[in-house]
Amino acid sequence: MSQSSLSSQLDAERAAILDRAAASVFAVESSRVRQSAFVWRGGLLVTAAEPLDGTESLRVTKDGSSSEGEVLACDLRTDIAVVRCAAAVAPALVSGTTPPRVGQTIAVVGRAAAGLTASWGSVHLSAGPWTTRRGATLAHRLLFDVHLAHSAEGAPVLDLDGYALAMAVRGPRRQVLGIPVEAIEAAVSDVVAHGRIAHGYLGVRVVPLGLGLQARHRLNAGEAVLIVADVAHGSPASDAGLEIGDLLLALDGDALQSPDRLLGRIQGKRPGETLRLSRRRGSVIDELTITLGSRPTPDP
Amino acid sequence: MAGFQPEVRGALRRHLDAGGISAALEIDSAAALERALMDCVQPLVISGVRWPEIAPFLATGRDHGAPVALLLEERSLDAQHPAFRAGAAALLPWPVPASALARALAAIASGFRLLPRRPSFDPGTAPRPSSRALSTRERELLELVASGLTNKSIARRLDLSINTVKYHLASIFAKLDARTRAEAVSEAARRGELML
Repeated sequence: MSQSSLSSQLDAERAAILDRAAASVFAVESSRVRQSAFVWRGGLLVTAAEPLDGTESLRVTKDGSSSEGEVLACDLRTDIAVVRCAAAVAPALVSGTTPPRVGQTIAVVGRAAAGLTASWGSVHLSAGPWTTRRGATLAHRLLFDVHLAHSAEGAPVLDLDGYALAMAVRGPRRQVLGIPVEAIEAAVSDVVAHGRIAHGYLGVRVVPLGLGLQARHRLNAGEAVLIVADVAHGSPASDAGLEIGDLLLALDGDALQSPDRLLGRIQGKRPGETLRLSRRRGSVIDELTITLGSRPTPDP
Repeated sequence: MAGFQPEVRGALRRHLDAGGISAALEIDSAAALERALMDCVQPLVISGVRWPEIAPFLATGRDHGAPVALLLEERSLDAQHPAFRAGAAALLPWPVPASALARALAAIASGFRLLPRRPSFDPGTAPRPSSRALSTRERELLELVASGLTNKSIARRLDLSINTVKYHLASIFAKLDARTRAEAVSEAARRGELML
């Protein structure tokens, strides 16, 4: 087989991957943003959450036909937004079952106003679990070495077999991050089951207490500790025995100094996951392992 | 009796004197207060402190059985006040009439807990609620924002119109000085106004 036929065979294979994916990739736009989205289940699209910020309806377009999409959930911690659109009937992308390998070839398949777009690149980093800037814990840290146009933000990242590995989003310092398929599946399942993306919930209100040097030394704490100012009735916190006035010193071994950091750590976990709180009451310090629940909300 | 500033203790001492009570012990530091709460069985009156700074001490008092009367400069002192739920034996508005204070201390010494029937004896001295504090409705709405619900879904769940939801949100954003939903939620958490 000659060199040229090998490379043309490769090109044909790449084109076939794009052809198969094309039906599942849509362009979504509002008055402020234009980006890509892809079908995850019948009638449900997934796209990047951060550029949307509060947008509740989107135009969903493909091949000149356009319809209305409703943003059902927008999770800034994981950067996943779920959009309902009756026209999104195309087959869902099939996700890969093995974690991406460093150096593996990938394609970001997006859709701009004019048509399908593709950028080929490779997996730059594929590492273990990490915590996003906004506090969500994801199973893999994925970075891609690929060009990501604005119109392709929220597009699927496919491997050479056409399996979806992640959703491509912009990170800090022009990095292209991947939101792993496991997180997408979890978010979409939540939306289908509960109408929202489930966050962990502990059931406490806390206020920070700045500590003087002596108090820091005595409590063996950092610059501040958190005081439990209220405990929600029937919440995981009350079940675990947290009480008003308890001091919270550390979570999963990290010092707790501000309520919004605690919020990030709690919401970054999912209901059913556990966290370890180190709590001081009087002169006794103990460690509580608490299974998180989900925030109670009235039924629709 | 306890107060961390000399002028607070002075005012409290004069007040107790006027009610015919002399304090067996004057407490001026956090460490001394903690010791007193562990050893003391006499009623303890604490002034010049703010909720929730006093919260850890109430927990100690509750566990060791020292009845604590808290004098608070707040408007609403009722059974829902977290200090009462945390185990304070009495919540009294400051300033409180000297005779009423004396009777309150006698009552908690005999094992009663008490609250003012009216929120405040003298509303004129109570601080005005901060205009930046969230209303109950706003707090309820923010809880739903924190669970990641859209305006439409919040409107449906609270049985409000979408415009009412937007109106409340605009007020919440202004009070919390936030531009996005994520900012509003984390600022409310920082201020202790959100269940986490």
